[in-house]
Amino acid sequence: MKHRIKALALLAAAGVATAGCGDDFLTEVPYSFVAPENLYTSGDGALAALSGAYAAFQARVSDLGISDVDYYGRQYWMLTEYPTETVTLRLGATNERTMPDIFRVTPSHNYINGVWRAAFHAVNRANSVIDNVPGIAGMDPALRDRVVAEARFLRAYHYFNLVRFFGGVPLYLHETRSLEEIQKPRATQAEVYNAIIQDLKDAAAVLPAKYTGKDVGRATSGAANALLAKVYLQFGAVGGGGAAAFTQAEAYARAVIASGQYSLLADYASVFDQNNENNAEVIFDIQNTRTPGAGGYMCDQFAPRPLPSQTDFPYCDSQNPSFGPEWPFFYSYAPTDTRKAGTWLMTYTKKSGATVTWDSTQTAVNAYGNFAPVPNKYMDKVPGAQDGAEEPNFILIRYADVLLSLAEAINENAGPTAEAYNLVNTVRARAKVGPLTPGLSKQAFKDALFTERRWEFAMEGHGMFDSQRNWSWAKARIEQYSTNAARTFWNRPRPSGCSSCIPRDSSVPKVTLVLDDHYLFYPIPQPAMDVNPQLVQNPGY
Amino acid sequence: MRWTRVLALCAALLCPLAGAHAQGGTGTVAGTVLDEQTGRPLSDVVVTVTGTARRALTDAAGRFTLTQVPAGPRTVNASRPGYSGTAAVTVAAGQEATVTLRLRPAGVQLQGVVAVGYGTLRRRDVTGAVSSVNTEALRNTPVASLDQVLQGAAAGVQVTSASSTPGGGISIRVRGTSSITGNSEPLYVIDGFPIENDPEAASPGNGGRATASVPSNPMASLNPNDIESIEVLKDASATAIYGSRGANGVVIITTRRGRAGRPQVSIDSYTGMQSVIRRYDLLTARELAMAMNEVSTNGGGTPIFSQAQLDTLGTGTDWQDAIFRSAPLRSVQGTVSGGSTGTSFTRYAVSGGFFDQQGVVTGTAFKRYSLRANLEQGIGPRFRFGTNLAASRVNTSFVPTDGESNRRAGAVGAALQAYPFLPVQFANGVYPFQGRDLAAVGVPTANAAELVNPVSLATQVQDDEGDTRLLGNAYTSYEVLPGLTARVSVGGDFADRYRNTYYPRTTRPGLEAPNGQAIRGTANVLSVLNENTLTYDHDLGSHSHLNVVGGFTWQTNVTERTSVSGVDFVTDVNGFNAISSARVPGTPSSTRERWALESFLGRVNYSLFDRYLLTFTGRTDGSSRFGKGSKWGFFPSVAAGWHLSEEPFLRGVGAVSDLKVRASYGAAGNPSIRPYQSLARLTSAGYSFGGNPVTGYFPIGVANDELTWESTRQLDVGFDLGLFSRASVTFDWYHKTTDHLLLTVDLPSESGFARALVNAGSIENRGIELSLNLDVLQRGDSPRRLGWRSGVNFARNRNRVTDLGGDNEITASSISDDFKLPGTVVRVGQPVGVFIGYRTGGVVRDSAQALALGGIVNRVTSAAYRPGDVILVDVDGNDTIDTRDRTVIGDPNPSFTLGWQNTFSFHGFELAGLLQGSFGNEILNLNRWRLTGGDAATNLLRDRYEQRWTPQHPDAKYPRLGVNTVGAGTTDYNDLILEDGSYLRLKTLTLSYAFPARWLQARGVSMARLYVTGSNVATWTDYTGFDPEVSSFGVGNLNRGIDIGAYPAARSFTFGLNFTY
Repeated sequence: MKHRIKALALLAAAGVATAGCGDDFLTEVPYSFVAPENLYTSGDGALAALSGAYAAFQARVSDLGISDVDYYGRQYWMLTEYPTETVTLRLGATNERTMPDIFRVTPSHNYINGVWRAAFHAVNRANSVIDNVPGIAGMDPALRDRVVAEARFLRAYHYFNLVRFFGGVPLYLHETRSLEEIQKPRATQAEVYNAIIQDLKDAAAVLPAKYTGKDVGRATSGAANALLAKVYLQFGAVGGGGAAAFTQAEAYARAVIASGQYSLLADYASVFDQNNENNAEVIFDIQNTRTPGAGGYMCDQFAPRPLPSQTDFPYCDSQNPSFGPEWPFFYSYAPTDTRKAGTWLMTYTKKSGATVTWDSTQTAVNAYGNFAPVPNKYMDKVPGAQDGAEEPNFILIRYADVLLSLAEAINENAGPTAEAYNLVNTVRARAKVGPLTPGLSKQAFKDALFTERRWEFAMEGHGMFDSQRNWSWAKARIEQYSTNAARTFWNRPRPSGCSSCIPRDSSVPKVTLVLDDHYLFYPIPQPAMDVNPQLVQNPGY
Repeated sequence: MRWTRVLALCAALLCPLAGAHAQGGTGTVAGTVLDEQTGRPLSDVVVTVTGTARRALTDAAGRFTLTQVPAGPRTVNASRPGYSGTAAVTVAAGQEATVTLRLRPAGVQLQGVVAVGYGTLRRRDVTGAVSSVNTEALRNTPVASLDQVLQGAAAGVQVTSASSTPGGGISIRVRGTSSITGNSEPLYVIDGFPIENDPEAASPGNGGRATASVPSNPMASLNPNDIESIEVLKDASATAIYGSRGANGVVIITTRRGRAGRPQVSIDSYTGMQSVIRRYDLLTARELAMAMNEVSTNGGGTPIFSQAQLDTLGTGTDWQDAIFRSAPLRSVQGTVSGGSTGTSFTRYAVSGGFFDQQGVVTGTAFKRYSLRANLEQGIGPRFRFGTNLAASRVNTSFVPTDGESNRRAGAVGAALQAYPFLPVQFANGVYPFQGRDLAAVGVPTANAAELVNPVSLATQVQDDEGDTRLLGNAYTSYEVLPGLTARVSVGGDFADRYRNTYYPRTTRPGLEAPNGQAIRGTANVLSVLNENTLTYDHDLGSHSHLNVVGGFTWQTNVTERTSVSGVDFVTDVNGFNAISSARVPGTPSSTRERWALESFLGRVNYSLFDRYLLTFTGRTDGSSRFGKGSKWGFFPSVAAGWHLSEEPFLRGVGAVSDLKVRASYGAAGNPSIRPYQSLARLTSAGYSFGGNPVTGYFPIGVANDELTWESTRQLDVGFDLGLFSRASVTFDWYHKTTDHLLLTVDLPSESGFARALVNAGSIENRGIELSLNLDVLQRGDSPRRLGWRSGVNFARNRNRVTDLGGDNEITASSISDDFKLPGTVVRVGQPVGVFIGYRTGGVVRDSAQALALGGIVNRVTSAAYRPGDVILVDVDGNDTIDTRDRTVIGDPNPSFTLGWQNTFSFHGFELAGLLQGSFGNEILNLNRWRLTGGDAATNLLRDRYEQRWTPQHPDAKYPRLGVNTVGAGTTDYNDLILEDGSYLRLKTLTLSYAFPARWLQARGVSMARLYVTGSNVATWTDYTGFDPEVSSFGVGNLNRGIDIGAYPAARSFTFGLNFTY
């Protein structure tokens, strides 16, 4: 029996020793990718997750079907700038790019789905930081709070985009961690605005006023306050926030000015100079750099196609020009206005040596040709820029916007006071334009202010959202001035005495725009409606 | 110390039962078991007496003694894996009866011992559906790989080649496909070591190879000559012991081991030649030129070739000739086995093998070097220790042969499509490409498809795969009490795989890379297994028998992969060996994956009066691959059997020697997922602050804590019938329902994610299986009599998708990057992966018929019907042909499969043949897309040319030249390229001669045998391609039954010898 027990013990020992199956045996340990539990363990991990949240502006997630162009790589600019009377494109009446230009975006339009999924994906990246970083043991508390505050600023920014594009959207304020309750209904605009305001107030209380060195470009308290001013203006005018919102907008705009951190640059164009980034006028921007995957993606949308050689443009490699000024708007700048040349590239020297200067006599026109001046802001003007690795930062909030926002808020609260006039005239003076006509009524001042914003901010992604705040003014201007894609360059004024200029092609019918109020917002994208049956479509679509 | 307690408890419970044997009028049976063919004694044979629970094992001299056998006339059964025999004996009380049994290979398979996983059972005690594969062929005929043994050998086991290239991928389905996105290959268990044969998981990675690269077969490293027996577990009762991995069936392979006796040395060797079975009949240069002229004139143009040009054209280049060859194969294997007797016995079987096969397409080859040592040592009466070790090295030379069309074509596809106008090589050595170089030979290029040069692919591309594998385990067992055995084993499976590829600039992919493309990929796989089992096998009195297995086991598997690549080399001379010299290096990659499985298993087999059989099986699996909340699953099954033949009312029926009815029900799973699919995943992205680059991380995959196995429940009812002791019939009916299919679903993008793998959807498989084994003519003890054994198996499976988690249809990824043809479709109510396209209704005969069809709007061609057009059937009857008229036109799943083995023996001669077939399945022959296309952008089938519509030949099979047979556009197809894939083939035919034992014994030789074998000797089919046994994308569940430039199957004739002394 002893023998038997010895043998049993031996076998048992072998079994137990070789098994050794603790609780970890069935736990999956990722080796060649990073899991949340590996990342959220230190301050470095928290900062990496936060950098990931910032990088969401650049929207490159092929695994999720989100491409470079879905957000600030193209679609954001097209969806905000085309539906105005300031910017148009070069393609025909049936092209998908024409649809936002002529207010025919349908729920199945590809661009709105791009922005929708990219912005919500960005929200989830911020949510991941907000949910996980507070639990990191041993992290410097000040850094931890700042990281969370930056993420809350980012979340607010993306929700501000969503609520302006689509109206009330579902509110995801926590990271998606499981497939449970993954479908949410739309919240009201007010709920979304209140969530944005809460995030920004919390962020403003924690964030520093300024960063130095390798932190330049992070969200500051000034950025949070400036965004609060803009959010309250939009909330008051579009989201049902009422008069109280304008009071708040005024207060936060004043707080930005009072911080003394920002000023207008003397030269308008230098604000956008890629060698003068993070200048005194910049409050918050997307930090692009010439590292593959960490830079901008707009050059081929901006670059013209010089004739006869399409590759003769000195800067960007590929030429697919997509943004040109609408002619009535282009000719509306005052002769002295430095913003015309600051916004539109009026002259360049081709690789082959010849200089192209945009003037009304230029005749080089074809369907993909040099149809108009191209945008000057955010174009990488150092040769060799690659897609996704362009240098110019995209400025999302700058000081001139705060000044004009304060003027707008004051006018809403108290009418066109001297202070409001002064604010507008400060911006005009920098642009080398004389003061605004005095003695305007409240509405006339408002209209003049919004027209000012068109000149000041063209191609900065504010157009559609400005239209929303002064919708009747915008509708009238758009219906009156906006041409449409197919006619835009054909219908340009034929300069007198230019016999070689291409005559207008009257065979291309003009689309008469009648803006229905449902164009205030884009439709909810059909792919999103298909997957989440709780979503309800915007009226009119 | 849990184990000792459990063991002690077991011992305490079971001890009183031991020795409770019935007493009474009994006698003793003693005897010897001999090999019928060699006359040598056989050890380790299980000897039983029908109707009793008496069992004994033969010793080295083949002797056995059975005591306490009830008096009266008795049948003594002797069985060993693969062999069986019976003898009648009359037992008198208190006396000893002697008997001699001669064993022959178990053609009549109701006897013998079968491996059932974690133990063996007497076949008569098996209640589940277990097919034993006849492994006789393994020892007697040339067999290159395991799939060739399984083909046609067992009912319900379907074998498909993904590529017939030597070492190419195979796909096996046991009772149909029960998954959509998951792996449906059965689990292999080699000497107790479970191997999940997932070609994707085993591969060294694609690394950006051209799409025409071929999947390899990870089971190719197993030397089939080493196999002793193969069992296929099919129903839930049999597979539940493998729990979460059993749902696709289990193939249990036991390798040869030593037997007590003097050392035996065997030499098995063969050599042979292979050639392509059949070729496509294509046009000569002159005929094609005439066809091109007709295309042009039919389109209103002028002839392309003048009469003078035509007169200079002959047959041109036969590209099939240029890449096909007669290819040799050879194999030599040496085995030494033997063993000693006694309590401290030693048994060993050591073998070494070399197999060398050239492929019928120039440039393809396969070599396998294998070494195996199976050892067992007794340590005293109770301990045993043993190892099974196998080392192998496989070298495979691939050529891009399969897949795609046009410039992505492999060598085979290109050889079919290429115009015969171009030479194989220009005089300056340059390999011409169709398209680029046609002008040089005076052929207009406007319409020509851009193509690779087939010969440059076959001869210039280096694409080598290597697999070094060590598979082994060591075990020790201890007989705690009589009948109670504890066993501990530890094993490892290590594979070191690489695939190195270089496309030189003499090939089109290499030239356009540009200037050469090199890819090196490696995969290292290490799997470790530990099993601890307790087996109790005991008579509970003379009338009931209990066999209990319980155990705990764990297994881990770690796979590491690396891949490097580069393009643009100064010279081709370094091939893939100097990637650092690439001007444009590719992004290197490396990954590491681990999975682990921890299991408790148990099985109880109980038989009462040798009549009533009951089996309970259960396994609890904990798998790392499942979600946090679903790691553990329990897979139970129950089965019952009733030996009707032992009942008094059937005992008197002499015709029925055995009759058992069986029924089983239970569950098994299919893990089917790669590791980490249930976890949240982050990925990296670059950003910058103030111009300083930083790396960020963000979530791209959401966790699914509920992710779990695909669950299959199966009901099986069957019977085993023995008639006149010379025929046996096994029949099974089964109904298999698989739920919780792993499907990829779209997530709301508001969640921040796009897709997730979830468990949703159901598939069912229903079918019947029938096996018949017949000793038509028994030889008995006389070798002079003619013997004839015959075995037929038949299986019919019906596969149906019953739910797709709310969706109605899933389309597989597109078939061809060139054509963007939609993949096969998974539709609720249909079998998995049906073909969807247009039905055709012949060719428009004349203008009168065209006029009659005038009311139909054809949105496919956007033109009114003209004479010589293909008529598409207006399925929905709305007078408009559009995408809504696409319908299910074919099914790649066969209606039934068949295998029929016949063996005739006379004196020392034996003639054995296997007929095997598959019926009712369709093949989408995408080669015909081009070869019957109307525009002559490639060469054409002779059939297409000769049976085309012309005004003089209005009742045509094909439309006029200039009209695409398949349909306009490149996103759909019609049934003209769909073919009946049914076939019946004489898979193997072997004539052998074994020298007489007496004559050999005088020379100290045990056995000597010569044979000639033909494989793929004859095929009866309507399929027009190279071979109906084809599936270019065959290793998955979708896109099966498609032939696109598939490597042709070969016919071979070999001569071999087996020699043992």
